[in-house]
Amino acid sequence: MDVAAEHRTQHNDTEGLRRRLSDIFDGVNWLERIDVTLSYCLAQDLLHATKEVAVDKTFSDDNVARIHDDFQREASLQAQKAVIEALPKLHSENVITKRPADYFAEMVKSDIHMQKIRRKLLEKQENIKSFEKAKRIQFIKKFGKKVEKEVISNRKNLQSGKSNGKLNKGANLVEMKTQKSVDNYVNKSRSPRLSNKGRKDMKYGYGRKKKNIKKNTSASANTSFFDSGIHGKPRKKRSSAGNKRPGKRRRLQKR
Amino acid sequence: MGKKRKENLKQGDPVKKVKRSKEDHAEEQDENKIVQKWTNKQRILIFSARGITYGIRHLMNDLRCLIPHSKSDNKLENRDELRVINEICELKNCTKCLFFQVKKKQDAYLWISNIPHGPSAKFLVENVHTMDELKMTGNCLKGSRPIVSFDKGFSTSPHYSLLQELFTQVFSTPQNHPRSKPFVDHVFSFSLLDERIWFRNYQIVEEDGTLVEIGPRFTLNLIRIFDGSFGGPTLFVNPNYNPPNEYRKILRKQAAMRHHVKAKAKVTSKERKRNREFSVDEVENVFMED
Repeated sequence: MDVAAEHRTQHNDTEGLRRRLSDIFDGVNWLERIDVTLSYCLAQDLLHATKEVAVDKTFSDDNVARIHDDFQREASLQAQKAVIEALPKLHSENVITKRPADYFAEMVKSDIHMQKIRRKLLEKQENIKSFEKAKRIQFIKKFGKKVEKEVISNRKNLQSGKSNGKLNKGANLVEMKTQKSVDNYVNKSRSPRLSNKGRKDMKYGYGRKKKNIKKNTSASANTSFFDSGIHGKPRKKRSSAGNKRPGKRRRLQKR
Repeated sequence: MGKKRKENLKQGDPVKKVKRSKEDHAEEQDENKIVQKWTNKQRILIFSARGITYGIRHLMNDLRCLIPHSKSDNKLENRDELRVINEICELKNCTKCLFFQVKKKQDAYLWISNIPHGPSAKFLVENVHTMDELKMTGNCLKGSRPIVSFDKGFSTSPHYSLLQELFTQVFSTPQNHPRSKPFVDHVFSFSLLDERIWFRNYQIVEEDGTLVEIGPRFTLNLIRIFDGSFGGPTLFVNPNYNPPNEYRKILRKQAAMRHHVKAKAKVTSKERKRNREFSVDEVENVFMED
């Protein structure tokens, strides 16, 4: 393979290339071709954007990753500057660039196809909307009663002392508050959802040797199982407040 | 239907003349003053060899749709030599040719050639997205003329500037071509990135440079530039080009290596276990002797 690569590098006949370029150059008017050569290099731009270091021809891993990032690459590929450069030039040569509104002609993509595209865009928007709606419903299910109680109590407070005009204001305030809390819930950044595997790993652990985990060791032998609660947690003491009802025998004795 | 058509025929041209306004007349006169002739008779033959995949066929049709000065022809039989294409092009009055080839039903190649004396270049076509994909939301007139944009990288080395010239001659529509529309509403952009040529096609939505992609998309990986058309002495060979076969070979080798290492580890561990020496405790057999 190395031999083949060497053989390949040998072929770079720059003089021949230049000669052929001058051969095929037709020298037609610019209006015939409308070509623009930009004054910047996209590859270098992309590299500069990533790191402000001297640009090497060899691509580091980071830069390769940037090229594979669809969004960043497409943003850098845009031919916006070419358009900005070429359009005034065309206007000065009296070339029409905008099609008049009443000029109908066949398009590259058919109407049916464009409808499909539109439908898909709408679907996407609807999906986002329905997602937000579902979130709202979730919130109401979770905190609805609490909010309702709050609102009612607030209204009562307002009604008890104040005049009608102030009541409205107060009601609005309450509504605004609830709206805010709903929005907070909807916009709250959630931790990324774990996959099934992720959850299992969280619960049972991941990696390491599975062998001999359950075997007794000197450390485990020293701890008394009966002292600690289940799963090593200390037992909770029963609160006296929670156990107001006496036992059955005592209750029977009391009778 | 028949009646309607007859009526139209009877009325004929006079109806059209009546409909035209004074302004239209004035414009027409102006146009007549400036001589508008189709002088640049560049024609491009876009076709392929037999056995191309559907993706490449769609791409080819997209290009035919976007290049109004193109012509099409039957697929080339695989037994034919590529030099035959020169004759086909001459029969069709074409001065340039885009020729697609697919090998192994997966690797697409594109030839771009200046007929009949070259130069020509061969590319590997990668990352093909056609115009039918729904994520490309732009649209433009069929036959409108494009702006052809190149990034600075094309003027850095002679082989790229030669390619730039070829691309401009192929993709830019001649002025006043009968099948073209007189508007400029989309951009073909060629950019250099990662030693490849990236082709994109955008619609010009607003004159301030708002663009929406129309498609198709593809990436060209240069293999070789020839002096002649579809052959001849080599002018340039891309040293960074890695043939897809070789790439797949490396992948396969890596997979094989993974297996090989595992298998080897198994064998050696077995051997190690077999040859393991245990230190014998000297005191162990003291009581046994009694």
